[in-house]
Amino acid sequence: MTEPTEPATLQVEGLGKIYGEVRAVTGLSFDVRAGEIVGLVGPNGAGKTSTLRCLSGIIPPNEGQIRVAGRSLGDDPVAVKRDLAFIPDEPRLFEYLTAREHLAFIARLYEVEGWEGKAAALWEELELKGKEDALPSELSRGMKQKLTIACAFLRDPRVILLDEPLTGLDPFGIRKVKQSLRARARAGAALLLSSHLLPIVEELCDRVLVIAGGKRVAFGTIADIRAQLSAAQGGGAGSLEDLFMAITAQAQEPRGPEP
Amino acid sequence: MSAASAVAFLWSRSVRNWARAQVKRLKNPRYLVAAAAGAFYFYVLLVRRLGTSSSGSGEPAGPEMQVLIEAGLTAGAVLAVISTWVFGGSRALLQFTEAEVQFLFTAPLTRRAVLQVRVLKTLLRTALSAAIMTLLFRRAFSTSAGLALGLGAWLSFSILSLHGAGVALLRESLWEHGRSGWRKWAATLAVLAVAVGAVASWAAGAHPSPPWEQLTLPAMAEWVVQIMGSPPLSYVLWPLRAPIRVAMSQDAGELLSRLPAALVVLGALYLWVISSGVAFEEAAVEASSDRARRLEARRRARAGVRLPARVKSSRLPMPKRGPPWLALTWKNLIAARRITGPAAVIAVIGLALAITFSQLSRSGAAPAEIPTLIAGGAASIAAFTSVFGPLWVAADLRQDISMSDVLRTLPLRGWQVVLGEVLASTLLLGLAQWVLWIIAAACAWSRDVPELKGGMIQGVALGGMLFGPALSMAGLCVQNAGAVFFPRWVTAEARLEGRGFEATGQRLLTLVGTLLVLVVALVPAGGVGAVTALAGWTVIGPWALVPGAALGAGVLVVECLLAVRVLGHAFERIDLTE
Repeated sequence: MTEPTEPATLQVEGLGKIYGEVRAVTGLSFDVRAGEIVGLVGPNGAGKTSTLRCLSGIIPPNEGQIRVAGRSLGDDPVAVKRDLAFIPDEPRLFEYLTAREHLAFIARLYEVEGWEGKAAALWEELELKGKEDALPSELSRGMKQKLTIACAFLRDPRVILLDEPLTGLDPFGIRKVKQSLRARARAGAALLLSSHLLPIVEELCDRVLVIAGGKRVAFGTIADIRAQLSAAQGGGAGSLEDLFMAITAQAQEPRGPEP
Repeated sequence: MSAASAVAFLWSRSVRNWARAQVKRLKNPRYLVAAAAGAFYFYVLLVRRLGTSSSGSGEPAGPEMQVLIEAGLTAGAVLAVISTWVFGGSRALLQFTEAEVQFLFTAPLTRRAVLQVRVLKTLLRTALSAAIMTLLFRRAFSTSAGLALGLGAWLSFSILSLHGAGVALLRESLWEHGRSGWRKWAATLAVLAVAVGAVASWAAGAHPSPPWEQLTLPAMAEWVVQIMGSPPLSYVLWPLRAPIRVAMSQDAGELLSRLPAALVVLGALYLWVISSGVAFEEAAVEASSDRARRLEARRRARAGVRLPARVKSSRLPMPKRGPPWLALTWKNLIAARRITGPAAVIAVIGLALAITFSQLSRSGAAPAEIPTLIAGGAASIAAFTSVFGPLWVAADLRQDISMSDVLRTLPLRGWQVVLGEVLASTLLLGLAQWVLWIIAAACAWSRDVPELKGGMIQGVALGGMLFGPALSMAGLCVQNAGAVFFPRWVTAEARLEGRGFEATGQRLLTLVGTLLVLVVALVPAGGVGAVTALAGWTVIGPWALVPGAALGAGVLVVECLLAVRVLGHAFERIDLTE
């Protein structure tokens, strides 16, 4: 991981997303540095998917700034998207493109030079060898997920946004993908990983962002969060799961009427 | 440029792989037969029609009729435009697939480029629809050359589609501004309504229609020409008439002279749509999720069936005793109640009323005859439902076939699953027929008709109540056989969205199969029933219809149970991956 003094690759300031009358995300600020994996956790409906969709450029935010390597997604979306990759929770692939053609399509869209060599390495890395000419309907759920990951990795993005990337993978696949994610971080990518699997977040992530009700309720290393919680409650929580329960319970406690 | 070539790559490879996948499936003889049937149907419908058209067998319409056709099409376009503004435009153009959202929205493309991709895809699809429409309707239209009709149809569809998209984007843009946007939208609609009203009142005042007794075809054509050719209506209609005039062109010279105007309209709308600064992404993501949900719903419940947003709790109790497979029947009955809703009931009542009143108006009968006509209408619908009901009511394996893996984990034999599934539709159709027969009998009973005396009403109604549901059950067995022997037809139909040779062939074969098997099944059942009824007629008169129908129904039910055994055996071997 790089020194914290370096400017973050992904900077989010005051992000807000409103759907009609519903505020999904409110004033969310955090950053992800190069070489770092940040975990995004929160209960169902906390605003994780909305946050990731805004960060990936799928939907525009109503408020706030998203910067990648100093450039604003709002001001220069084309350049910023070139540096971004988003891996959704459900593999969404083109029904009638083979695995190899998916990578060819991505390579052309992002102007990736010498993609065939990179693709060959990815088939090996993600154990997709032999499935290059298969249509998505011929692949298992886990293989589709790996193909989605391959599409993201092919172009060496600076920021990788992952929404439950390990869903549907077998234990070998989970280990492989974890290794791949660590390798990307080591190579200098900034990763934001949303997951409900707290042990995986604890194992992989350098820092954790906890959100509830669309707001940030904790952000930092697990040790930092533990220290903050201990100071506030006077008790020590153990694992990330314990911390998560304590923090989200605190955030969801009923408050008195607004003044 | 890389984006354009990437999208071209995506489309070309998708089409090629889709074609390959279809051809690959033809290795299975069952699907080959369906595709051959579909291909033959298209050959008869399109290719032979093309041949007869090019030989000039179709008589071109006269000039008066051409004017009226053009006026009719223009009026249709005007209605489409007005409804677009009133109902807020079509979001069809924003219907990206989930894969398109995933790959294109996150790609280094401008918002305009993404929109251009979608617009171009729509224009290409419209071209295909226009080509098919031209082949289908050219002879009926018979006013213009094939190329002109095809081009005109494509331009008309494209213009209406782009207009709908433009209005939808405008509305999104105004709604982004909250309440002030709503006010602007309401003001826009008010201005539009005033403009339409003013033009309509001008047309009615300046060019009154000829008297009814003088309304010949030439007089009417002359009146329409006067109205449509006079400003300001001629200016208002110009963008809508431009593509229609292309379709009505009689020769190459006329086509070339009319084409630029239509292209200008298309180009202007294209620019309007792609220059929209509105953030359409949210609506597109929502639309793509909707689309995915609809496809899933179709996959589960066949086309046209939509689950309501909120479901009602069911008051139908699960039988406390009985065989385990009855749980499947109970499940399907509840599902049918939830997906049917009041709309279906209103449709049936509407159909019954329409039949009654059409009989009333045709016969010129007195109001006192209304009960007799209602009796006739109800009996006709009951008989119709017993034959064709299985095509519509699909609360059976057709909705559950994509979950056959789950069904096979149940502790039931294949035939038990099939019986449990088929029984729900049978009960629904049987119930509907019983209600209709009771209405028919009650209405007929209230009239003093000599021909219906001596047990005729009771005999016919009770006979229908016995034989009709059994006949429906036989039809349902045929329909479910389609799902069991051709499972991909049911599941793939949704994915293909009902297109292609195979899907058409499937429908043809199902229809032909239904009728054929019904005829075959009816021979022994009808024979036994008819012999019994004829033998008893001399002794008990029309009441003999009851034992006749009962015996015939019994034979049909035995045949159905045999078919259920066969289907159950096949169900245990279904392979959805074929």
